Amino acid sequence: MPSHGSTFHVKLLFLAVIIWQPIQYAFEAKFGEAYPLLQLPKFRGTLTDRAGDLSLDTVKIEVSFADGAAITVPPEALLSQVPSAYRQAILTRMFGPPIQRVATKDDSWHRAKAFLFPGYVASRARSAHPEVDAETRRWIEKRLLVLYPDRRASKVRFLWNTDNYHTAASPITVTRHQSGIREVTLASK
Amino acid sequence: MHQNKWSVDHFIFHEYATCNSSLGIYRVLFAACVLFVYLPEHLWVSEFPNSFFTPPIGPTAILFTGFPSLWIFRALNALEIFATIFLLFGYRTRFASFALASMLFFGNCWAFSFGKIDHDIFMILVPLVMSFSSWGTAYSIDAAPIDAGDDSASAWPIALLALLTAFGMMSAAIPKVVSGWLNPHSHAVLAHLIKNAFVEGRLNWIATELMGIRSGLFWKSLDYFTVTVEASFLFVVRSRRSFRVACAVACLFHLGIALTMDIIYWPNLLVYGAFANWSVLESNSIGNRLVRLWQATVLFFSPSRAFALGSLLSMLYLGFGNPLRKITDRFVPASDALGLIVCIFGALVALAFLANSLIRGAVPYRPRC
Repeated sequence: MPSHGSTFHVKLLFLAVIIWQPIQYAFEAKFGEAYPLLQLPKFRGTLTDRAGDLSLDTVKIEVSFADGAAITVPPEALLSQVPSAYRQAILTRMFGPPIQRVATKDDSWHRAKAFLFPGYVASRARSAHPEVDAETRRWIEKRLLVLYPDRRASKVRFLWNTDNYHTAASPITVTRHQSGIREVTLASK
Repeated sequence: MHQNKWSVDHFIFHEYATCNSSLGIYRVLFAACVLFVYLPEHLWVSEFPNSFFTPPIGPTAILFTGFPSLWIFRALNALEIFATIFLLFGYRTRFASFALASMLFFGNCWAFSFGKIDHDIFMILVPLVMSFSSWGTAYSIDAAPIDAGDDSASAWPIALLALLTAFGMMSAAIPKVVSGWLNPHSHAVLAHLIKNAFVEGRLNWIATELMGIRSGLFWKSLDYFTVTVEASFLFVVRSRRSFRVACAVACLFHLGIALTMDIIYWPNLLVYGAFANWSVLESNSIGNRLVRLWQATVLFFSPSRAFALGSLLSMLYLGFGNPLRKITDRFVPASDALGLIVCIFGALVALAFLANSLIRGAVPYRPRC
């Protein structure tokens, strides 16, 4: 057993770990998930409605080429370098259907936030633009050149669908309706 | 000194007491997993422009507004390889543990700046917490050549790791409980299986077969089982013996998820390994040979040779990639073939432990190892 002094510090450490738990839950509830936190995957929710139907958002990526042809590119091809768990998050955040953003107030709290978390505020400001920015467009062009080196893409459409899985049916049936489109026009030269 | 089994002091300083040889073997297994399964990591991050930068609240949101260059990630990986090799051979173990934990954390901060946080926090917590233990004093360069001293290790870092594991698992259970997983009319596992297959694109034949099962009782049982496994850790953390059973069941649980959902969550298996009694290998003929072979390898590896190996592996990993990963990815149909192998290994160890516990259930438990 460690000496009396170190014993005290060790007990203090255990106490800190215990006290930290409600603090991190409160923090997450107020500000969203931060990193690092002592959190494991949640798989929150049952994802189903009262009828037992499951609604899931999926995306289909359509690429039009300068020669008029169009093809569908699987998300796992466009984001092949990224671990599979990240793909849906990236597609939703970067190429999700445009939504009406609430304008941020330029109050003291917002200024304090911009001072404390410049990266966080900058990323939110970028996502508030309804159009895909030039940097992202260049990235798409570069990726499509890697995938299709002999062709020049002119437009990419991210077609978002909501798929309803009727889990009570046997076998499970699916109905689909379109929930939004994000269109990215690429450089014409 | 007689101490109350249920006292806080007993839990912190005695319940998780183990021997240095067990911790030494655990250190080797942990470092080998990081080196051969995990690294190199996050080299893809710098392929994205800053417009993709979406940090969570944390160090990257405070200090940066974009991603660093590829050279930073190359340097980071090279340093991680060196730290892991030093940890593997137990050279300046405490420093290597700290360094590895810090660099894994640094790399994760960037990788998690895409709007998605992976929950592999235990890969960082293990070397951080275990740096306060004596996991570098056996089967290591740090070990004195002639050491007939006390083989008992400090118990509190392992108890702390157990408490952190229990709270971590509870953080997965609570959101499920409050969001309807226990509702008798919902089938949460089935819903997540469908989402995982058709949205995340991780559909395999086992998932396809499972989705054909129409029994509500089957799916509801899986919901209850999942929440029970995750919540149980906190209820049994005071008893090392029960905690080990929870870890063993969780190993089988993770293999089940890996096989059905292709979510290969092997970093958690690394922390469960801290509570196993690896010194049992020393009394087993095959295990003993392996341990002796490792001991001979450690004697061969002076610090300068470990450094040379680090340089060689850095060049190989950063120039060509992880060769083991390339080979297994070709032959094993999983998103992370090496991780799946770790899950299978963990499940086999868990089965052996559970079988042994059932057979020897009546034998008094030896708390030392």
